[in-house]
Amino acid sequence: MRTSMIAKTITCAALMVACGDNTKSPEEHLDRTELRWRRHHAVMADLGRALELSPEEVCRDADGKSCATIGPVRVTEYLQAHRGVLPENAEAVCAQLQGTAQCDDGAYLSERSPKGVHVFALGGNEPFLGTYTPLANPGLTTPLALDRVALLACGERARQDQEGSPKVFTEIDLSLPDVSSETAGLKETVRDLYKRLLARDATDVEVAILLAIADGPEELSAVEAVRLVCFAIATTTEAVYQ
Amino acid sequence: MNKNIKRRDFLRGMGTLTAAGLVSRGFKSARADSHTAPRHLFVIGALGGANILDSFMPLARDASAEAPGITSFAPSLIETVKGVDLRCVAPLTSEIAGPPPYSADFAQRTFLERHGADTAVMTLDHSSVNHGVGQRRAMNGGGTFQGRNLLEAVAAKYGDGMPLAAVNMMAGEFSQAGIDPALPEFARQVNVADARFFSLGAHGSLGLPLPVEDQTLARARAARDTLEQVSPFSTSFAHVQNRQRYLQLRERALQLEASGLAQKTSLVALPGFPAPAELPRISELLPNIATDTFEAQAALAYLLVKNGGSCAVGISPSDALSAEAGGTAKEPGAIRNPALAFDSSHNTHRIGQHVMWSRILRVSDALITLLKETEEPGFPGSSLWDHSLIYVATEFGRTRGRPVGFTRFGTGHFQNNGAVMISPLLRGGRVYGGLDTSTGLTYGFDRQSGAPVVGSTMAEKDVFSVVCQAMNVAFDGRTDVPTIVR
Repeated sequence: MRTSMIAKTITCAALMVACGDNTKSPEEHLDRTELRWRRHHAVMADLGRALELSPEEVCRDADGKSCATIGPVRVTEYLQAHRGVLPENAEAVCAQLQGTAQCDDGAYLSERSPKGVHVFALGGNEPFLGTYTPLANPGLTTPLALDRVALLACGERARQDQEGSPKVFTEIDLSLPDVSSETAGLKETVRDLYKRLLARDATDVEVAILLAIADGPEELSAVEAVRLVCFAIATTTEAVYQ
Repeated sequence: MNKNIKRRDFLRGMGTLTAAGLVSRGFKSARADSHTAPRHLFVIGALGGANILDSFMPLARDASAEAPGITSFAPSLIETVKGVDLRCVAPLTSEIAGPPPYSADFAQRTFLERHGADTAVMTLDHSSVNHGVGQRRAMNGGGTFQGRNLLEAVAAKYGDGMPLAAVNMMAGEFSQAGIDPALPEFARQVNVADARFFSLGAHGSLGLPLPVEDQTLARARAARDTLEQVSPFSTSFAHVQNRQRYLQLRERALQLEASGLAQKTSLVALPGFPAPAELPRISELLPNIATDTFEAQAALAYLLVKNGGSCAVGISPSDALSAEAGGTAKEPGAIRNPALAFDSSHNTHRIGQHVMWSRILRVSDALITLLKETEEPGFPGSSLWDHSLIYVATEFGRTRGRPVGFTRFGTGHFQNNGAVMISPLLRGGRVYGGLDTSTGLTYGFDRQSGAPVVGSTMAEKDVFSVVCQAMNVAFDGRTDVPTIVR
């Protein structure tokens, strides 16, 4: 009997550790002192999933350079991107460094190397530049880098939906040259974006705030409107932290 | 002066005269002798252990009976420069010819001819032979100023109102921020990984393929700010510290964007970003900014300071192998940055040190030249260089022993060394301390007189103190060396 009681107590304690303490109220659960920064891989993955963009499509800045991706870096790619070797010299330099007649091109460092112009600002490390330790916390350029990434991703989705069969912005006529908060489908778009980007329903107050973007003094096309609404949601602290 | 001559041309001419040794230094009258004058600190991280015996304190092989078994050079390879009490190593042309070929096209002698009068070498014993620990201590003086690093210490004094007072582009642990919780927020260092693309992180929308009007974007950002006050997430985590900090950071980031620094610091062709007016001159002195991140860092450091964006900047080569790109007189594939940088000395000490010292001094020379050519705003007649100091920080020296008769050998990490500082604020042109020719070990000096004292040693905090003294940055426990600082 006594043994059984001890076993039950241990089991209960183990379950509480494993599954959380159900005796706490929801308010107590929210009594956190620190939130976790969602770094580049989480940001890019979530944007890609929410906006139905492939990793290559999510964000390309500065004439097509990747914003932040993870993947293998080939020797010749590394020499061009990080060591200043001209494309026409890459094979020769590679061979010379390897001490061989021909370059044995392949993964230089890893199959999972971060690469892209915004990797570091978004919390990644840059091993090719000698920056092995990522930022502990967001830096001053982090918010601006995130703004660019969100504008690029949201803009790319809007562009593709306008030019082809819409995948995300399906509720609004993207050919409209000027929209307002009353434009058909804009409210539904806002609500849909909340589910896609933040995985929850928008409150009525949030919807009203975002619809007001379309009521400014200057004309705003439907493409611009959905892009900016998407941008505003994707760069809130709710999207930055978890 | 002929009124048709622009001040910039005049400054450039003065720089040329100074380089030629025809005048001792430009703008002496306006030398930063006032405590209210601005200061600019540039820290160059000599990653991997820059050994002072391979640059400005070389040991001649015939200096003692023991010298052939120490890191030493044939007497013909040791050069001097008139008027400067510093020595240097001649180009090791045959040793770097390869295979594989190395690129070391900037002679130490050239540097001393141009900047020897401003170059002070201070002996020291590092406190660690661990890379990371040594790098951090080279930056924070062993924690002597409440854990602030030098960039932060200078930024706290001069950086209020600057969008990026302290910028750290350095590699390894040189890049680490200090640990002083009392440091003002504006003085916290901003890390930049790749100077070539810094502009992209300094503006949220410039040059995007699908442009967005500033006013429209401002409205979306304002809506975002309102969301931050009313969303369930904001309500639940209203007082969480790192979220609060992010909101403040976002406000400061918008100030950075509004400062226009992004438009003034674009080093490579980026759509929508104008090329700075200074870029042609910068490219003359730093021709590889598009392909060499170290040169790009130096260019960005100059532009940040010139445009009032920063007062303390750290730069460094990385420890990754870098080869010449070709397209110039240099041989494509010639190694300009050996893998592990100065730490390549483990395998090839002399070549590694020689190539890396050449690289550090060439970029320093370019930076100094740019600073000399640029007038200090608010101080007519003085250049930015008159208010600047370059500190070549490194984590440790190298072991002294070598097989007699061999020029190709490896060395380990070693505490004994010396630090190089270059500034018109210092009494340069000499070594503070001395070299024991029988051991190859450096020794210290008397702080009051500057005279060498055999058996004494200086520490990281002494170097930190001298830099702070020259920068007029006060802190408890600063060990002043009045003989070094003008």
